[in-house]
Amino acid sequence: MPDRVATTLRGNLDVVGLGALLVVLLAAYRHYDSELFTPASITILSAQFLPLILAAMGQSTVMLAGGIDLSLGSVLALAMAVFAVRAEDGVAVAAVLALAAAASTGAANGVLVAYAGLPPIIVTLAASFLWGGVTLVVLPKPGGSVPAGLVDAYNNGWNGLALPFVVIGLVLLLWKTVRTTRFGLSLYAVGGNEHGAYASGIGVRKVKIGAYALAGVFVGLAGIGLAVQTGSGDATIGAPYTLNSIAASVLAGVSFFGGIGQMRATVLAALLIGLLTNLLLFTGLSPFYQLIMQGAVLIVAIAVKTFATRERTD
Amino acid sequence: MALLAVEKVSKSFAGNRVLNEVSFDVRAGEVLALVGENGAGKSTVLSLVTGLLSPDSGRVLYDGEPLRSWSPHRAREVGIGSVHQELSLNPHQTVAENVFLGQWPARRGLVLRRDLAKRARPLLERVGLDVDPLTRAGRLPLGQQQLVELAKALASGPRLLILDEATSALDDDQVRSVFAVVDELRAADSSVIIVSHRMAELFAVSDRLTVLKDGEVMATRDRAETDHDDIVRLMIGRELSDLFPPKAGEGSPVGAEIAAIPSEAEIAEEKSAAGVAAENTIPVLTGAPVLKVRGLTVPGACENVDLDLDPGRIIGLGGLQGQGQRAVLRALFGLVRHSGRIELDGRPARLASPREAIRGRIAYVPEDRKVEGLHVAQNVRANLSLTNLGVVTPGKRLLTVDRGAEAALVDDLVERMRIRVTGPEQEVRRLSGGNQQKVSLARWLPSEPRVLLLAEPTRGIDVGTKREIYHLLRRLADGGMAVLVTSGDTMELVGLCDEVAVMYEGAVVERLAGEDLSEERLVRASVTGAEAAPRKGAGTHA
Ligand SMILES: Nc1ncnc2c1ncn2[C@@H]1O[C@H](COP(=O)(O)OP(=O)(O)O)[C@@H](O)[C@H]1O
Ligand SMILES: [Mg+2]
Repeated sequence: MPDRVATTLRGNLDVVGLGALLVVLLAAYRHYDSELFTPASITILSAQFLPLILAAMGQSTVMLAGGIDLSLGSVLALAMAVFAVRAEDGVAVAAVLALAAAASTGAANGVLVAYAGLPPIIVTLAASFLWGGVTLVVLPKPGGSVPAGLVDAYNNGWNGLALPFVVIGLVLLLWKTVRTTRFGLSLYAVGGNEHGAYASGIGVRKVKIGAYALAGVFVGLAGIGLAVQTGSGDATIGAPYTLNSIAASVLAGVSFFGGIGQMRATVLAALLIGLLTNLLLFTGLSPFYQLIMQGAVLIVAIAVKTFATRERTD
Repeated sequence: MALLAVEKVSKSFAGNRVLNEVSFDVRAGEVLALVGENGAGKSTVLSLVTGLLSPDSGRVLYDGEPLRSWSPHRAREVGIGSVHQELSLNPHQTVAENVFLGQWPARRGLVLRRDLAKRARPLLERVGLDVDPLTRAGRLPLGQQQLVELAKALASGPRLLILDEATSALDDDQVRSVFAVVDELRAADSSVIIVSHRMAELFAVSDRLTVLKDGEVMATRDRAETDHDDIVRLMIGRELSDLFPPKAGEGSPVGAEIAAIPSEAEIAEEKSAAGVAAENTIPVLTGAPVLKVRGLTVPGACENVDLDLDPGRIIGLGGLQGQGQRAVLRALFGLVRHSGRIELDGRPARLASPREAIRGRIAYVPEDRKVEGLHVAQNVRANLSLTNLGVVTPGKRLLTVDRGAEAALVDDLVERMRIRVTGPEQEVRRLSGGNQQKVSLARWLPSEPRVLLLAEPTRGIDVGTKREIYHLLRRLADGGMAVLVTSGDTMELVGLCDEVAVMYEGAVVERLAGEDLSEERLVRASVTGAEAAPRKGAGTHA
């Protein structure tokens, strides 16, 4: 029995470690913001962190399949722009359009990666310019309008319900389901040993396209979330999400080589990064030093993590 | 009728012809052994059958129908199961998930873990594997992983099973369970193609043997009509004794003073001298080891390795693939961080970088010539002079290369090593594997290294060049060099080396020399502990 506990712990090292780190960070946060654990504060914070959490889930999805997406920020901005521009015609229609746009750009990324025979890092870097340009066509300057009622409900709770929490719960459930489908297993198989997956008759290209498309859905949701949070659209707001989502995924223990990682950990890691950013804001340091600090903390965290979980070398 | 017929297929990689009009067939209910040296083209021709590659010309018929729009997926659909030489498992997924890799049984779209485990169990039992289906595959020792591969190949109920070196990491018991599976399939009128380097196994299980050499079929023989020596002769195109030079102390070091590949006449002379020498044995050059290694450890790759590299001797590092042999070589050339005591000429040495190793006159010819050895996009001249800048930029010229000295150096090396090039300006990537390997070796010669480290020196090289390289290595040793070779080819280790250290999971488990150095002993030592507890350091993460 203790054996089993040890195994479970080892299997969830990332989640456990991140959880511990989160507790420390929350304690520090509490020091600056005594209101932290009130419902109002929790709602507004989760509203603020949701876009990064969703973006990180998108990034983790492609990384699990052995890829990476440098166009994530552009796709996020595209979804945000589409949603903000069309929100007046009805929120549901706008959301569907935004998701469709994000999923199809994701799938397009997947097609490029699967068929170009180039490293995903290069393909998606090029794609980031492409989608960035498209976004500017859709929304040349910041604007569009999201119904005020929705913005309020999202940021301040709806009948006492923190909507962002609900979204995270639903999305995690969606992921859990995907994981147990053949596609989900193929995703891990392709990421873990691409040649082996191909030799076993798995349609590696289809799986990659599917992974990027699914990531597009997550990123699209993130874009919608950001539009609702801020009440409008901005074509240039996506850029930081690319690197932050990668940072969160790596911090969560998603392997750069694919095949290893858990979505739960990604959610926690994204939350951590969000909290850290806020915390640095509280310290009253100049924004420049905040950036430096954020970078330094990330490097240390990732180095510690890598060191702690390193078993195999050569 | 033949279940599978391969008809005159040819295949080239980057201009190198690897298969030349290869034909053979497999009947229903038959076990065919495909034999040949490393690099003969066995895996390549099997990849054509399993849809990993497509032929440049010729065709493959299955069930009388030519294969069209062929892919691994299609091959699996029509009942071709395969265990490839490189494992196709995903180390991060469970054994059960791997057994059904790519064809997971789903209920309403969902794949249930328990369901998978339940279905995997009888398959694992069939291959004689007693492991929890929910273990991660990467945690199993290599031998057990191969058996998981076999279970995976059986999962789709194959009519043709392809085993490409699928028994290489198995111990005797495990091999027996594989053969039991093969016998079952044969009894059920299915067919098997088996590739293995263990000749005794092949004779025990096959009905016919097809011999490949340098990409061509030499012959197909009924088992009853042939024997071990006949097959080996076909494989290497000459008598085994003719392939390897005499060992240390058995031959006379004819021409040892010149580091060059000997001509046919010189080889003959050495051989006749060896006969005489056998009577009044010449003492081996003795003396302290050039390189004395104690407790060499590379975290996660090898542990506590002791080696004495003596001048005049060729030492081999044997064992299954990936047991730390490569790490030992790379550590001694300063390519990986390591700990342990190393003495060069009796003095403690630190080999923290290739620069320091080279200064200690250690040379390294890597397994992957294209990554660690040669600049394949550059020409032969540049490759040969790059490691010898001291020679081609004489002091008086300060920094610029003396073209005259360079040309002399290159011409000399090309001639001594019998490198077949159109000229010094030919790009290295256009050379055949054998000639690339010669360039890779030649670049070290001018600096007269005292220790030569070689990884898989003859992989993917034609037999003629192999023989040349064996003789060259012996000459270098006779000239006082200490040579350390890793090889996955047991015949090569036994034929070439004076002593072989067998590695398993990073440790030297046995040392074989003299009478004890036989293929049988080597294979047995290689799989020692293959059924032992989970591999140290293998696998991480959830
Ligand atoms: N993908 C590839 N690209 C270039 N050369 C290859 C490739 N695969 C195999 N070769 C070469 O083809 C030859 C035959 O290899 P292989 O079929 O693996 O031999 P075997 O299985 O008989 O040991 C070797 O010279 C090898 O280097
Ligand atoms: Mg092979």
